[in-house]
Amino acid sequence: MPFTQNDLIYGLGVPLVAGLLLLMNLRWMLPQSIGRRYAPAVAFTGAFQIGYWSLKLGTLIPEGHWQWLPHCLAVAAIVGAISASSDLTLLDRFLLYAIAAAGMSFLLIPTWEELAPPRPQYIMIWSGTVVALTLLLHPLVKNLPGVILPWTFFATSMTAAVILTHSGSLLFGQIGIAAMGGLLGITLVSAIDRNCRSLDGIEFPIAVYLCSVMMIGHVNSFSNIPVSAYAIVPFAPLGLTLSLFGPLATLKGRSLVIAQLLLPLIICATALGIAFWFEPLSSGGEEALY
Amino acid sequence: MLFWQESRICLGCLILLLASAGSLQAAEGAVQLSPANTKVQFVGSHVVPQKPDPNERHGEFKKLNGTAVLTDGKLNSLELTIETSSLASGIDKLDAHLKSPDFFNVRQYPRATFRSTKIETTEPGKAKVTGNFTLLKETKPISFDVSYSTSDSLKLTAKFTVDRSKFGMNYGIDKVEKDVELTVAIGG
Repeated sequence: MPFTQNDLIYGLGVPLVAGLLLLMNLRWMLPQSIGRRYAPAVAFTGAFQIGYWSLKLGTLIPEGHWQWLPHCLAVAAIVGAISASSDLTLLDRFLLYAIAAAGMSFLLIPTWEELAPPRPQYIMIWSGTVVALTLLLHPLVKNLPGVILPWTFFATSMTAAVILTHSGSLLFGQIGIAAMGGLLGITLVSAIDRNCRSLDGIEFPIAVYLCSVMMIGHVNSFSNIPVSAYAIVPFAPLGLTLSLFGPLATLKGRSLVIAQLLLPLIICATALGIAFWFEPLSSGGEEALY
Repeated sequence: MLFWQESRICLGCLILLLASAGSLQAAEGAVQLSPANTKVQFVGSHVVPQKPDPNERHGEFKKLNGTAVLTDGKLNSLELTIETSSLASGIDKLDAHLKSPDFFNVRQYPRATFRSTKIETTEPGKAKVTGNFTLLKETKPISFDVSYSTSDSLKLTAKFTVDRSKFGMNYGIDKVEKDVELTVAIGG
């Protein structure tokens, strides 16, 4: 285990408790119409922020491109909650996501000359991916109230944390763990409290988070992990789409649950398989990291 | 016949003159520093009770350039620019981690530089070098002792420690010692 007890307590344990308490309390305290939209997005990003700042992973005034992540996630939580309003059309949501993602991309995409593809292309690809992923996650958020969706987000964030750590940066691994802790808290509370099973508004911050950390991990890595491993991870939750639309939509009962659990995990396992195939665990293990 | 003998003597004198000028050049003026004549190595230690750390990590920077200026056989100034991405420890996984934002953050900060501001001769062949060291986003003054000779060509060695946390390299303070030992060797 490359992480210390301190990393796990403040990086995983505290965000877990924060995610759980934030979602439960915000749903309980806020009026129904507001709590439905704000609680999930604020619980996820709030739990992440608590883990990030507890471990002092960055500075309030960012000194590097990746240090904009907590700031961007704070904005993403608000945009996500606003976009969950039932008054908005698909076009409204698309424009909202596109403007927010484009703005964030200018902060998150590094300005290095040797960036490949070049920064303007990177900005377009990253922003387009965030918007597309958010729109594709929306039907899942609307049609899958329950534990399956937060569990899928948790499993995806765990995959992201493993790949970030395996890429050679424990700092980015800690960032991944903070988000993972928050999503585990949300998964637990959604299993306990029926009022917390709808995750309206969470799709945009989830898409921003996953696309950001995978981009950050990739551009800063000196490992042999190919770009495909990073690119696959954000799309893992979309495995659930096959259980809603398509040939697996006819499944019922236990078969449906197994399919819903397995489909995203297959995508996560594929990403992990690629990462570990091209960058095997060294014989020195974690000791070789220091 | 006499002409050829005189020509040989003159040619010999010319070669001697050029050779002496060459050695003078090495001991005076600017000496270009490159990986061919300069090594910058580092030693990092883990936070462990046993000192010295039995698993301390050794590495070096393969790409660098700079200038040492000699005046009257004395070291007058020293400038060195290191390409941080050229670090090599012999352990691929460690190299990748050291290059990452956890430590050298080489994509954002591809160079580390040292520029002397004052060189005081403490005794013949020894000097105290003071200058500004830029690592990551921080530039801080550092001082270190050097031993050098300029009789033939410049030969210089220096061994000193740098507190990485003063330069914002704070990751893993509870696992890796803050003080990193640096060795600079020019010539020889």
